[in-house]
Amino acid sequence: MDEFFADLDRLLHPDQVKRGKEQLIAYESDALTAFAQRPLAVIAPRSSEDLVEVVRLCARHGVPYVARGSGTSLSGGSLPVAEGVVIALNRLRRIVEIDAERRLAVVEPGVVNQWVSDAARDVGLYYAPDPSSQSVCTLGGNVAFNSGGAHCLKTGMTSNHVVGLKVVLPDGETTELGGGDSLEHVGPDLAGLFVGSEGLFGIAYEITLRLLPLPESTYTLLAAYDSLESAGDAVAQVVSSGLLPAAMEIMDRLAIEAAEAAVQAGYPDQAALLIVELDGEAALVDAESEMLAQVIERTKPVETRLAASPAERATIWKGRKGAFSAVGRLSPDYIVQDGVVPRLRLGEALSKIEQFSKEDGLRVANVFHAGDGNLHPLILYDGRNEGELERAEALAGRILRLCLELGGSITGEHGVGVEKLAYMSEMFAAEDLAVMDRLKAAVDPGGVANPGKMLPGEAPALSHQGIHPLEAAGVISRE
Amino acid sequence: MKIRDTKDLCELVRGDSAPIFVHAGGTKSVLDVRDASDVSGIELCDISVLTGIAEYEPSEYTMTAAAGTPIAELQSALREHGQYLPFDPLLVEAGATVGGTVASNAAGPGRLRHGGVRDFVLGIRFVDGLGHLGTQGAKVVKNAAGFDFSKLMVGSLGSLGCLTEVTFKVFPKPPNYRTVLVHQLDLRASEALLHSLLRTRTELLAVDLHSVEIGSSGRQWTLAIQIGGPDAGLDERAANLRSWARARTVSDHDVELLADTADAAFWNRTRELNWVDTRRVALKVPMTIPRFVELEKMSVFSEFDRVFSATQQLLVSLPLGETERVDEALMQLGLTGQLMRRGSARKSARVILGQRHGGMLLDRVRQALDPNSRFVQPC
Repeated sequence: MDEFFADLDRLLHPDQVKRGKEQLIAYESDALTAFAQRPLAVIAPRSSEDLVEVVRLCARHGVPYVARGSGTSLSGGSLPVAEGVVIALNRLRRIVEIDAERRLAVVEPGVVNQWVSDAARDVGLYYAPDPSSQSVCTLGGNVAFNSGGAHCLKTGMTSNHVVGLKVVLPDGETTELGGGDSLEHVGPDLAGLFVGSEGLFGIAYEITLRLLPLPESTYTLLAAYDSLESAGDAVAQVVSSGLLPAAMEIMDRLAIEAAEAAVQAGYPDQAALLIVELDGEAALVDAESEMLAQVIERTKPVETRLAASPAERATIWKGRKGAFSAVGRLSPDYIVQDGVVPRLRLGEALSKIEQFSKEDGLRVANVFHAGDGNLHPLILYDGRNEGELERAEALAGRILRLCLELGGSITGEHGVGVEKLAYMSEMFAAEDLAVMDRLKAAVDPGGVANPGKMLPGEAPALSHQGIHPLEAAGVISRE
Repeated sequence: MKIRDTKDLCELVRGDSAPIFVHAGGTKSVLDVRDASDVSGIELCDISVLTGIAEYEPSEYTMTAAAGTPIAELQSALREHGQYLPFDPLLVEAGATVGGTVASNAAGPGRLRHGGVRDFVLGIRFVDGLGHLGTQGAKVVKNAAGFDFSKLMVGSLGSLGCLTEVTFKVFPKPPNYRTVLVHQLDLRASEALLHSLLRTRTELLAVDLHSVEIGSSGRQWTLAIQIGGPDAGLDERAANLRSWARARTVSDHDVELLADTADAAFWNRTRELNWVDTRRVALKVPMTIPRFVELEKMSVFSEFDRVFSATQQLLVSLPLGETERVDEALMQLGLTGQLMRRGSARKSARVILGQRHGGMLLDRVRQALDPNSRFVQPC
């Protein structure tokens, strides 16, 4: 290891390598604070050339690493590797190009998600995937975890917007993946394989993203129901009507109460709220919004509200977007899961979760992407009470198993990371995991690229850390 | 060999036959080696027995079907519920199947609106090079667990394993369509219109630029723009689009509006590749608008019928004798092409033209999935 650091000192400026205990503490956890691991060092490349050289050094000396942007992973994806280093990508924060004609953005991995849309707005474009932490999370992390957001139903996840990648493989080789600047490609879709590989295939140092035209018009409707089931049925009605909403979100009573207490969105005091949003060409949205209003009318909501202005739309979304941090006010700690169930089984899933909550004596609030069956149960607990974290984790596990029983997935957008390692073998057969292991071993024979994530092995121990500082400050939330 | 079931397929892969070439519908015949004079070094494997829609729940926006199922069968089931495959598969009437469509990445002009094959493949079952039948991905519209093998298979041309089942994401189909054709455009005008269109906020379903032979004086272009949606407001939207086009052309006669069957027939001809001379091969080359313009100025394909799609790919009706020249030209430009259909032309030695992609990562993926080279590699 001494040789590694000696080589590193020759390669980089001293301020690019942090090794002091106080400097490393901030990197011990990501947004999944239940896990912590102190890295040996935090290395901050200033350029992609630096990054490639650092990866080569790690490969040569067999030093494991994890790349990290803002550390907002909810699955522990950027948790440091034991006896390894963190490669911090925040200094690679250049938007290389916004190309209005080709509707593309070329960015470095440390660029924050929201910056892309901000930079593209002047030319009438935006970057569609909108994880709720988009004001801080970086595109390198979005690519590694195939991040989603509230608007995935219509526009897809990160993977659907990555056109090309320049990557450094675990052994330090560099290669370009994808169709270059074209949306189409010839040959196996290696860019598609790389996105969502949770850092196990190396690090993307330049990312080419597809941009979409800003919607000409947006129609946002809020409907309140006297039961969660009615809200779920309304989603089914909207789907079978042939409409393709940009987003469909549901909040339950506990989440509504929390949001009200936190941001006073003025929501109706009901058992469930449904938000449906249409966007696109104005004439099309006009026609579709009439259809939507009729469909919703037939679902007999207690109350409906329409956003007639951008300000009213912002008010409707304010409570929804703030719901997670708001729930944090109801309880010192919480765990959030992001399992997926088939839409038809949503009602069944929610009533089971309610039953589990009662049986295990822990409150669960539900805020979820109803349009794509992506649940976000928030399990409230107090980590200061002996054994409560473990009980909360056990309840989270019951919910993930439930998702699998109902024919879904253990994760819709947060990734496996370290958090769901134990459930991979329940979702995939041993032989299918073996294929993943073979692929991982072939791409990273040295086992240095973010080992211990995604593929089941020994999971690190839980530890009680409390809420993430950024979350306490209301900057990020866990959805 | 014509397999009877997936067990047969696994046994074939585990055995010691020559490298395996999988086929079913035979629509992308250029990829097919059956007609080659010498197939002694290749084991032909017909999986057309693997048919049937395994699961379809319209409210889930998902459909799962066996790899040998004709896409037409999927489309007919989807149509009953007002849904469709948004990536717009090619050669459907010709008999394209699920596995071939994914393996050859065959997306049509409708790809523009919501994305390509890669964007609508959620999960797969496939037999890898060790003869293991496995499942990857999921059957729900959103999933982030495990490596994305489903996308990896898109465009793999059967080289990484044999698909036996695919789960697609499906979407509601626009209830009705209109198309505006803009005729008699030169390259400069075509380019300007393409750029201008892509900057509008109109929801465009497809935008294609067709070359039109005008005798000895060369070629012109026809721009085809498709929109769709509920009947309410559709005619008005189409009228607006027509006015937009008229404001940008010399004569009103150059703008034509297609509806209903005329609209359907126009696009069907494109996606069935019926405009490609049967004695020629269909070549697909992904490229952006600036690259397309560059290529046109260099006259690489100037003698041949071609369609440039705003989905960023060029389709060319290419004489087989031209493949070597085109291979070199694409190589120099850093572009890659894939032959899609052979028609009655002789077998082509090559399927991929121009620059190869993937390098080291692809080698390693192959090493993991097909270490003993049991599947024929496209050349």
